[in-house]
Amino acid sequence: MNEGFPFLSALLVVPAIGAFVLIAQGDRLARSKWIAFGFALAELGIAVALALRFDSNVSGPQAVERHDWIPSFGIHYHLGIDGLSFALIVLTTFLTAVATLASFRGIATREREFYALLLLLEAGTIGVFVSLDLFLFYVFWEVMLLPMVFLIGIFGHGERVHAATKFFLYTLAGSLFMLIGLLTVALYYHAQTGNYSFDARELAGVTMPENLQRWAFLALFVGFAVKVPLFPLHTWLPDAHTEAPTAGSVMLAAILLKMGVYGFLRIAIPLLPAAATAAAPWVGALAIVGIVYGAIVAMSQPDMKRLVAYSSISHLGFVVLGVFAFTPQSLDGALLQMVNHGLSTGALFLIVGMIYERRHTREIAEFGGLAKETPVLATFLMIASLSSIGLPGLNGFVGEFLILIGVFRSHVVWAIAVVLGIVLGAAYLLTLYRRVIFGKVTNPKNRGMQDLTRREIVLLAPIVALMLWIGLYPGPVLRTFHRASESVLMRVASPSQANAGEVPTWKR
Amino acid sequence: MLGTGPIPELLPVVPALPFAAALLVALVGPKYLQGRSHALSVAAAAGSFLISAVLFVELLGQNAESRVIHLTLWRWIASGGFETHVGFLFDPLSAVMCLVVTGVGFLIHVYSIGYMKDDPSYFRFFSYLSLFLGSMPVLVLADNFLLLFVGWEGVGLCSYLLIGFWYEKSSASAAGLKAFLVNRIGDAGFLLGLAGLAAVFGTLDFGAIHKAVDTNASVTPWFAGTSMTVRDCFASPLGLGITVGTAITLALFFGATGKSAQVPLYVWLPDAMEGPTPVSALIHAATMVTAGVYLLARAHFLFALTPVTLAVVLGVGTLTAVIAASIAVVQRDIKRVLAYSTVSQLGFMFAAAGTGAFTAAIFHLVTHAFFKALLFLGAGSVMHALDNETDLFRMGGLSKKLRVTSLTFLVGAAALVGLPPFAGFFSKDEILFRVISTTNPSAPWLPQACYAVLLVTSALTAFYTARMVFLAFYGTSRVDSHVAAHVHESPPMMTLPLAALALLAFVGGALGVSGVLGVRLHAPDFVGRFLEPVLGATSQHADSEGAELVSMAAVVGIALVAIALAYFLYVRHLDAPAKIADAFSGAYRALSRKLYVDEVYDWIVVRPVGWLSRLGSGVDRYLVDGIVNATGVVAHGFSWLLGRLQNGDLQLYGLVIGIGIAVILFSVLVR
Repeated sequence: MNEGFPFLSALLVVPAIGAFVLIAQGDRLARSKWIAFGFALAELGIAVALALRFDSNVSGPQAVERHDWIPSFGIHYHLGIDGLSFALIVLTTFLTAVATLASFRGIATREREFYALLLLLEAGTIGVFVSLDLFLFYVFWEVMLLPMVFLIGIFGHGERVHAATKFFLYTLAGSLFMLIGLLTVALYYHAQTGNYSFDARELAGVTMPENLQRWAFLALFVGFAVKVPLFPLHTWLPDAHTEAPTAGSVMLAAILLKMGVYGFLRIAIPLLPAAATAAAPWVGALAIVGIVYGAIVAMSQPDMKRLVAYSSISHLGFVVLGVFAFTPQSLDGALLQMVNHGLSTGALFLIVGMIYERRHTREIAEFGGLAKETPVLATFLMIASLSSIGLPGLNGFVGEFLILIGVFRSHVVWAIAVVLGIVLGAAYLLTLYRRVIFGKVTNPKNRGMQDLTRREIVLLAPIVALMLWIGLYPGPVLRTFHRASESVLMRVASPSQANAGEVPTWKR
Repeated sequence: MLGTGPIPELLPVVPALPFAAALLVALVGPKYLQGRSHALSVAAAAGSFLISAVLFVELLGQNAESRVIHLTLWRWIASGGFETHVGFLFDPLSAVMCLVVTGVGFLIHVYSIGYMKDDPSYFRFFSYLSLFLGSMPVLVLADNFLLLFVGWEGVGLCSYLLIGFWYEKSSASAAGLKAFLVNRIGDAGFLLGLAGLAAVFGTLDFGAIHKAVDTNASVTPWFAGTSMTVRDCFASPLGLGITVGTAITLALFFGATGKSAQVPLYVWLPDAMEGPTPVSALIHAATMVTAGVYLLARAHFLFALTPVTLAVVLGVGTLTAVIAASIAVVQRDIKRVLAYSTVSQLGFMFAAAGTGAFTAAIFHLVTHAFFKALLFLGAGSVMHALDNETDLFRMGGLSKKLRVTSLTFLVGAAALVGLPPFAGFFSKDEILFRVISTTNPSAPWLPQACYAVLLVTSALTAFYTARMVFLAFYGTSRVDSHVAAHVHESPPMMTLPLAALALLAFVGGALGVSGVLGVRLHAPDFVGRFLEPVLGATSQHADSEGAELVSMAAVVGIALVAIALAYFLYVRHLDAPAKIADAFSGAYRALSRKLYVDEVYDWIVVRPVGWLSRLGSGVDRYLVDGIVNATGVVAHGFSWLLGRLQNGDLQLYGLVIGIGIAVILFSVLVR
């Protein structure tokens, strides 16, 4: 099973080494950020090298590595990627590098701990995305939790300890449910075959009775829904996002929120297809509530970061809706929207962070008229907002439209919720823009505010380039998703067979 | 299928030139170009117009049936059998639109050099203007609905940015936001319509859908497991008494009511006058706001299948026309009069579309672009002379000092009123006659009723136009004395575009003389013939020549009476209007408050959403989170207890508990 250079292990190890080097280097603080940035870039380089070898036409995992770990329980060090995980890995490595660069100014104390935690977070995140063994998956899932908790609790703002505790307990409770679900599946497999296995594909080969599937799905659902987050399990998110340092918010929004959806796609749906199909209307309903509720609550937030945080609840609602509509378009759209949300919300958090670094407040009412003082910042914030709103020509539109047409085909009523969310999305973001950027400078503290520095432009420009690229020429990105969404659909269409069955295609 | 013309590679250059200018001006404008920023934008506009003209000539050189230049650039969005491309289509309909957009656009660019001369954000203005002039050709040249939507949203973005151009003014940024959001509501309909089309046809390509409709091909719509013909699919009931076809076309039309400021979404356009006047002329009169009309014309083959939707279009257009014209009668602000006039004239275009007379709608779109751009630029020239004064009651007698402006304004006004031989006469006459001579199976009484209302609207149009002209240019001067001292005619950079547009407003009607006049005057109906391959033949109505002549005479006669009345009220007895307003104070107040539509929307939409939002925040903070925090406290206690017991870490305990629960669950359920 092992082939060539172990790219995936390298992806796991490089940031971990980076974290180790940072801790080991002692007190030469000035260098920490550059060391961290160097490792983040190296990691991005590996991901790019991997991208050059990735074959969109292959279905099933690529770059597979497999070694025994705890053979008596059928647990392996088993890594591999497909289009779904591949896109999220590239996004993770890219945004970690960006988040590192973005922290150069805001993080002034305990730098080496900060950057070490950031790199550990990256390693844990990558681990979740490359694991094919579910036990390994669970380990990384927990590993990634801790650095995030410390990033919020140590380097956050205001009520950071409360936010970190809440985030920790919430996610921990969620992952307990997830573990229950995983073990149920694994134990049933053992009961049927006499062997232990945590291999996702092997487990999928044994079909559980539907009644049991539903219980296992419910457990997995709670675990993943907390992470997404789906209404009503979302209340950790506004606090965690708001109090986290900029890099933490970026990673949280852009990457960690995707893990819930990833869990649905990688584990819950393929392992428990009958239950997933049965649950689809309920999950869809929760997603719709999330879309509308997140958008409406976002409107009256007085804090910029909180507003963007609620917008994430709305956007992730679109993604989940796209997944559970189970059509090729809506699935491709949902996968693309995960990447898009990473870029647009990532950019929004970065820019809000830049404003915070200048004024040490995120209260919307403190601002107004920034267009005059900081035209470059205003321009980038406009582009990021438009991307988030789904303006055609930018990335967000492609995903939203694919979700819309897919959802329309399976549930016309859901489609109405989608367009309602699209309307509301413009309302809260452009209202925010108007209050912060337009108008006269009424608060003297904003006078003479520094516009973006060269470093800040350098870290935002690639995001904007990606927004335009995906908006105008999404072909290559969409192609990497086709096989992954196809395999999900195949599971749902014919739960009894792992790799057979007809994909419901778009008949003319 | 669509053929390939000789020089299709030129097509993408039409939008690309202004886009490049927009980017360059934005990047180097603030540091290096500043006061010269217009150079790139104007050159790009000229280039786009010239290329459009070259393509147009190219098109004319071909047989009427094969007048299509088509270029597919790249595959855009593809997933599971659904596929769209970035591709451009230059057929007679897009040719007409493209020439108007780039031609009028170029003139307004030139005018802006003079008008915006001393603005501190000069470069930003031209950058936005170029962005608009790139987006609009994307809209009219797109070969599929989705790319059209890209242009549609692009021009919407430019409109938003330019309305709020003077962003320090709170009213300006509010108006920009309102425009964007109201348009978004329309877009929701548009998007649903597109999703519906995609779910029926599996494509959004104009050519492919048109062909499927024409051949009544078999499709597999989302609601049926089996395939059926397009017509059967469109006639399938969807619930609430409407069919699938009606729902889809109504959704598309709802999008059009946003962009083209029709009832119920017209409320953003009057506020859009906060933007600089050249913007009002270009975006909010001549080009962008006509996009909805273009959309209907482009999708005419769909609307032709759905008489109910056509009836709605006719009704909405007529209603909008008369409401907006009534409101225009009492406005004091010259730009607001023109804004409501634009809403009203767009209503005429939709009325035409609602009768299936898409050629008449497009013809009026063209002449309206000429004369309304002219009127707005004329108003801008007046404002330029009067220190940005827009109140008609603080003008008066300007014709002596602003000779070019007043003369060209008069031409534009005559065209708007529809006096022969000015451009608006031919196009409006055509619309009115189409309305009276149409039949709609779903609402037989509707055309006659609409005709009557549109006649009244014509009278109102004549009245508010004459009122505006008399108040601004004739009678005694009411200009503030310190302003009056330096009233001056605008520089040539501004008056030359006025003259050019006046010429077009004067002779533009000759392009499309149809019906009885065409027959009697032996005038070629150039526009009608040119559009025929796309929009179908303009049916000859020779059998009703008499009726048409009577209708025409009635329209002109009523207009002349209305003008005389305006003369009497606003030149001879300027105190009379106030008395009349007092006598009918209720109606007057309702009209001057724009029939309270903004207030109604505020109460039924804006405020409830605000309440919901605050309610939601409260629920989130205290209810949902409260429950979770309570659970958190329990968990805290639990972990404290565990800690007491063995000083262990929560992770490990989590694992143990998880395994335990799973084992229990498993044994209960399986064994």
